[in-house]
Amino acid sequence: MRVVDYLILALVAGILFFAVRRSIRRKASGACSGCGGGCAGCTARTDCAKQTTEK
Amino acid sequence: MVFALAGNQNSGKTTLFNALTGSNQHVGNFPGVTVEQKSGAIRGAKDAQVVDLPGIYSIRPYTQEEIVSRDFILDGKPDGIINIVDATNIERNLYLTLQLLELRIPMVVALNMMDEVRDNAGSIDVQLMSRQLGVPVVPIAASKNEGVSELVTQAMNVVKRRMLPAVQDFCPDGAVHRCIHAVAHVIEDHARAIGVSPRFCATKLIEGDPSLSERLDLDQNELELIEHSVLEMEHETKFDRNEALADMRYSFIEGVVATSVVKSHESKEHRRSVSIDKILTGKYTALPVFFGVMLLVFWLTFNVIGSSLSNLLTSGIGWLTALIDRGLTAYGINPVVKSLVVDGIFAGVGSVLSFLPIVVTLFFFLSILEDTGYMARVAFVMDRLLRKIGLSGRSFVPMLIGFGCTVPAIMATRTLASDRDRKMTILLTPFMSCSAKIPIYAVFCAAFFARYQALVMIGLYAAGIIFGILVALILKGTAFRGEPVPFVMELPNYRMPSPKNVILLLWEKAKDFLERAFTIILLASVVIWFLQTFDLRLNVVSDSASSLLALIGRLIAPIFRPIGFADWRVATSLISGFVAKEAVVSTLSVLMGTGVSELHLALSSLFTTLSAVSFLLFTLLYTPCVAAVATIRKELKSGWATLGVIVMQCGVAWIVAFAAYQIGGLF
Repeated sequence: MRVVDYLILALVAGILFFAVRRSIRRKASGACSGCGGGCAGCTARTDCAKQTTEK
Repeated sequence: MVFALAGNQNSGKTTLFNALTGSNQHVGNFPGVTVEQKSGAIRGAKDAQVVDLPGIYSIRPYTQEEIVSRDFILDGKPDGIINIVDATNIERNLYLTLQLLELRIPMVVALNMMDEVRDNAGSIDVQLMSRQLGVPVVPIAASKNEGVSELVTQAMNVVKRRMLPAVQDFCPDGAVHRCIHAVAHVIEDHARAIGVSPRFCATKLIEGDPSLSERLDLDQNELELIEHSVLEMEHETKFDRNEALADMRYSFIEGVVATSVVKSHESKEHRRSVSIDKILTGKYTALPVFFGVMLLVFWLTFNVIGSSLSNLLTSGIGWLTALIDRGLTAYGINPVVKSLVVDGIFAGVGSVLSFLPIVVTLFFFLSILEDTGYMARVAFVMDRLLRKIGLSGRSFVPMLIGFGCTVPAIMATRTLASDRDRKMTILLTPFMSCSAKIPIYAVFCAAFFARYQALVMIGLYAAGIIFGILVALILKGTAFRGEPVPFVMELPNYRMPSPKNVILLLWEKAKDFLERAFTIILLASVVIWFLQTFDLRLNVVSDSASSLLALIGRLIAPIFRPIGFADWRVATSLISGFVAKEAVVSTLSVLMGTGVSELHLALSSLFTTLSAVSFLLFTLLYTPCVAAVATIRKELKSGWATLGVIVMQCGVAWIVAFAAYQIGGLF
């Protein structure tokens, strides 16, 4: 493994960290984490937008 | 300073809320869009918040919406109420106004849609109506932002000066009058103790509100006195308690309307809607038109627009993946690291991402149908059919939302009045195929049914509905005996779809899809890649068949042997589908070591056409994703009932797939 390999791994780890953090925050905020959309009729969509921004 | 925004369904509450706060809430041409309260700061008014309550027709705690609204008004103690009234339908709207007036909270009435009243030669003497109701009345047209600033000024004024509604006795002398005043006298001290107007408490107690009775902490003697007064009123008026109060309110409203309102002519929008409805909701034409419209939507999405855009995006993703692959190879990057990037991240995320155009296109058409007012008609048309399976047309709304996502659909069941209807709808909604399954269908259709993609797609959606109906029939005869509650729904006029609404919806849909692809699907892809690249001792495997994932997959694969797909990779993809349905495709893509453009070719080594049908039926019907399961748990308030839903769904899915595979094998 060369330095560049470690750099790529670090980049992937960073992206994963942010992805996990984003998912956890969405879930913790009560937003529809894991929801596939259908926002038109979603009753929690205000909370989704508001609470995600607040955090 | 907090204002409650209260009004009937489809009276323009959300439009006014957006005008007051400058927010972009979705405005549905569909009664019942708001189920939970939403709040926002009023523009141009310091420290003033407005809470948008669900649309209600009265403050009787009958539906979940009415409970949410009543609880906020009683417990949230708003400083003021903005009561939005549809001026084109004023009698029915004022019924709620009279109940709000009884609360004795500073209040202002916003007469909305005054532009329509004027355009159709109607008029309202606002000053006179204001005197009759005892609160300021402000004419507005929320959609054109007319009169909104004056409404804010009036609302701020009544709250700052604590201007309570003038004391109104809606009841002329007689039995109802005597009953209300007798009850108010009995409970006055209790009502003041909880800070609610005695008159409001009296009418609610007469209507038989049990929770208010508990809240007032009345003793047996007081309850008997109240019941005695009510029985006396019923005997004298020959009406039951609810009819007597409704008659009192409508008599007062008739008086107000007779003196202050010049009725408009029937609007041309309404005339047009009535003519269109002769076909779209006609006894013999409604269902053929509905199926025709849906067929057209699916054909345009899966055969014309969406699929072309999707193919274009697939080529772009394929080109980018190849470029990265070549770049990493040229730099001599470690093969495992390169595999993580190319076979894990790019193959996994790319396989899901390429279906973005299909999802957005489908929702483009559905949002147009909703915005025109057609979907409200479909709920009306479906009432007759749903009644046969023990549900009412109202259950169609959550089911329709379920085609987008099961999570908000389950939450939307709160609009159902009866607990029986609500629970039954929660059990059936996961059978409606959510949009996260579209990538699975699309990739299998391309692989096995390239010439009949639209038909197979419709078939899958229809199969979900049919199996939902069959389960409903079983439930109706067993766990959910009884009759559905009557379905009352206001049909809005047809209108041209609003580009702003449609664009807003598409943007949110696309944003949500992208967010999922780059969070949960990315994570799932990397985990799957890790498990299929290493063995138990964390050594890199040369063949994924000896990987950790293969070990896990082989444990559960035998369950799927009788339904035609015993390969451990397929079993694994179904497990990852529990996290998010799109992950089925990304997992297969990672495990087959292909990009999405070649995935459909690779699938032919795993499936026959028959086992592909069985797999599609299984994915259509098996357990909803973890987010949906969590929502079901929250709404049913029972872990066991939720487990029952998962077991039922998986059981139904396995039996249907088994039947399809075994029967298909006979031919």
